[in-house]
Amino acid sequence: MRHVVVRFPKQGVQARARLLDDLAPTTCEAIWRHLPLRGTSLHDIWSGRQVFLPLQPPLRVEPENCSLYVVPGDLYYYERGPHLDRGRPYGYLELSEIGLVYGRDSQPWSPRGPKVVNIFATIGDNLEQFAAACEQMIWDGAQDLEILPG
Amino acid sequence: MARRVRISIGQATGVAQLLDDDAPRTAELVWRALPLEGQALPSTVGGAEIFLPLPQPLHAPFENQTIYPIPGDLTFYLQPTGAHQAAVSGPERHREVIGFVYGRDAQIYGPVVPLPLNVFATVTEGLHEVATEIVRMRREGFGVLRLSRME
Repeated sequence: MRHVVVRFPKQGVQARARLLDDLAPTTCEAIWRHLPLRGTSLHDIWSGRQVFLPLQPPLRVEPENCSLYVVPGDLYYYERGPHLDRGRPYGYLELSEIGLVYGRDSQPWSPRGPKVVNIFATIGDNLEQFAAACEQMIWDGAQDLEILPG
Repeated sequence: MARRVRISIGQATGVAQLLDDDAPRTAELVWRALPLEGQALPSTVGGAEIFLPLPQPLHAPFENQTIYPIPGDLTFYLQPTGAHQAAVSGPERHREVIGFVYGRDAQIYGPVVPLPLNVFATVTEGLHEVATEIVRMRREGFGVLRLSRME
C-alpha cells in the first residue's frame, strides 16, 4: 500500500494520504513517478474548501476513478487544455492540477461548471491540522506545497 | 448626479455610483453606514468576488436582486453561516456582507442554490486597477478594503 505526504514546508504542517492504487492505478502511477512534486499552491475560488497545486509541466492522465463529488481528505487530479475555460482561470492558459479537499460543502468547480476529477488518494491522518493551514490561505494567499513519497 | 462611493484596497482605488433609482433603500442604508473598512475576504465558492462582513446589520430589504452579478457590481446580501463559509462563528444563521464582484464567471453560492444579491452600486472608474490588486492579493495575502463617501 503506497502513501504520499502532502506538506506545507514553511509551516511544517503535513498529512499522509493513501494512494488508491486499486481504484485509480494509472493516475497513482503517474503521480508516484513524478514525486517529489513541489510548487506554489493556491486556494480555490470556485470549489469551496479546496487548495490546488499546479503541475509544471502538465502531466497527461486520462479520466479515471472520476466523480463530481468529493469529501474532506480527497486528493484528486484534474487537467484542462489551453483555452478550454473562459478567461485563463488563476492565470493559467492550461492547467494540470492536484486538488486537496480539506473541508465539507466542497465541489470541484470551474467557469464551465462542476469538474469531473480523478480521485486518487485519501488523507488518513492529521487532516484537521492540515486543513487549518489550507484555510489560512484564504487570508494569506499562496503557499509553497510539496508532495513526497511517504 | 448619482452619489458616489470610493472603494480602496491595497494600492488601488475605484469609484462606484450608487444605484439610488434601482436600489433606493439599500443604497441609503449603505451610504449612512459609510465609511466601512475591514480585511477583505475572497470568496471560496463564488469566483471573482471579495466580501466584507458588516459590523452592524443594516436590515436592508430584498431589492434589485440578481443571482447573476457582473464585474463592478457592489452587492449586499445575507451570507449563510456554518461550514459553508470561512471564519464564521456565532448562533446566527446568516451574516450581512457587502460583496464586490471584480471579474467574470462569478456566482455567489449558498449551501444549495445561488444567493440573490442586492446590487446597490456599480464601479465606473478604476475597476481594472482594483481587480488587478485583488488578484495580486489572492497570491500575496489580503489587506484592508475600505468603502467611503465621495462628497
